[in-house]
Amino acid sequence: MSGLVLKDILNLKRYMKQMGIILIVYLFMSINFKNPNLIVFMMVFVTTMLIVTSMAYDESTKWDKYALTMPITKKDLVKSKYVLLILLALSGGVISLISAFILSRFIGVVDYKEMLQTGGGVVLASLLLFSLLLPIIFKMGTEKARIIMIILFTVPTILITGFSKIIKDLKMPQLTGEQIKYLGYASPFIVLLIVFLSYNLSVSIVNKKEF
Amino acid sequence: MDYALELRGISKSYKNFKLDNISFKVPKGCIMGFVGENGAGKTTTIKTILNLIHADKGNIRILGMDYMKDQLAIRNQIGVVFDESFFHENLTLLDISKIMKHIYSKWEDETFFRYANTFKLPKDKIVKEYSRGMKMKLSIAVALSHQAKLLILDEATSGLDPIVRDEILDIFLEFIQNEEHTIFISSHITSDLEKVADYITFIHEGKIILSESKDNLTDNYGVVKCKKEDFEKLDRNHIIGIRKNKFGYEVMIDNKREIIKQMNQKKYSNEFCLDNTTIEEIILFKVRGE
Repeated sequence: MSGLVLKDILNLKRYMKQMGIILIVYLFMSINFKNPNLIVFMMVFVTTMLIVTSMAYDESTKWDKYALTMPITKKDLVKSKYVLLILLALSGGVISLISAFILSRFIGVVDYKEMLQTGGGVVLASLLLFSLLLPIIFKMGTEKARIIMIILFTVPTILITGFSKIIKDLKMPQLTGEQIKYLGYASPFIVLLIVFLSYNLSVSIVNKKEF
Repeated sequence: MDYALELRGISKSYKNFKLDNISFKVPKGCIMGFVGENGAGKTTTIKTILNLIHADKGNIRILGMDYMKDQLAIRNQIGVVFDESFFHENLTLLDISKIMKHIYSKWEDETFFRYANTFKLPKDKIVKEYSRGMKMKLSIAVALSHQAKLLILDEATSGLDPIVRDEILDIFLEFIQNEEHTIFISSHITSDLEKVADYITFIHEGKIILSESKDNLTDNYGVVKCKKEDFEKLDRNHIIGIRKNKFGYEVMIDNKREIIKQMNQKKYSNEFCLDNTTIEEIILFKVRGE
């Protein structure tokens, strides 16, 4: 299984150089807006997005078919992608937090707590979104999953903004600060549970697949 | 006899095609050529052997192990080459050897780079810049570098030019020098198989038509050219295929020795003649003959 993750990392190595350029662009944008959180937000998503790139590469080279002639199980194929996803999200989080930290010293906006919260939140959000996406990619391939990915990314945004408006308009009871805090503490566990369920779903999808 | 690969009654149905009760055995230490036209079921059979697709019925033993239960142990001891390369385009030789070291329990860097050297694969280039022939050689190098006992090759030499093919066939012959080693190779280039194979298995429309040693085939099969009168004297049970033309009949038979005996006994007319045949011709008679 480690060989599979290594394969993706080595293959994406060249891609990561391009990511460096993107990082610089966001760096300038963050300076411009005087908002270090912007870089945290974008970097984590761009990094985690590499999971889709890695799967598109696998598809175009029909790697899975070849890998399954090696001492690798279908479960390993799935597991390696989830390990890579978590690695990407975490490293995206760490890299962006470090750059945001350095940046904040320059532009003088220093709210470390907010930065850490944004970082953690974005890592969890991207883990959540891509956990929803991975089983779809395993089932239908990256090409078709792309459309679903767009829906997956936009619909929740619309729903959340819509709901918050409705709640305000109807004067429904809103979450108190205390409740939000608890939700914040619970969110890592909720996300991990979803990652775990998504993994199991992907395994059963791939087990049924023929290559 | 010990078998490296045994298929028993493998069946798999698709909408327009089915593998029908496929059975054959590949003895250890041999090269078996697996022939058949495009769409005959070669790749489907190989995918079934590799458990990439699931057979509806039947059983397969690879290196004495059950192909479902002992999957990982089997996969550690086989090397597989398909008709295309599957390596990601940004990888170099060094990357690939690093990856394989984490995958195969008996990966040998030294062997890999020795083959890479023999095949003149560039160390500093990425796979994207490789030619088709180089990519195939790369796959073959990987297949040979983890102490595999059985090589399974699906049209592995088909897309290559004659010189490279010859080079690779020599490597296969070298590999088979070890008695524990076996090769199962599918190809539609029968001349290649004629050169290296000890056994030939022929598949047609999802059925195994024959599976015999090459010597048996060349010893027993032959083409008779004759007129109608002589044709009628031939034993029907030994006729494999017939081609009619304006000069008379061409008949593929599988009892060459008997026919020679009969010729010596002057059973046939003077125009009756018997030629040796090739595997390609046997296949053509089976597929296209009446």
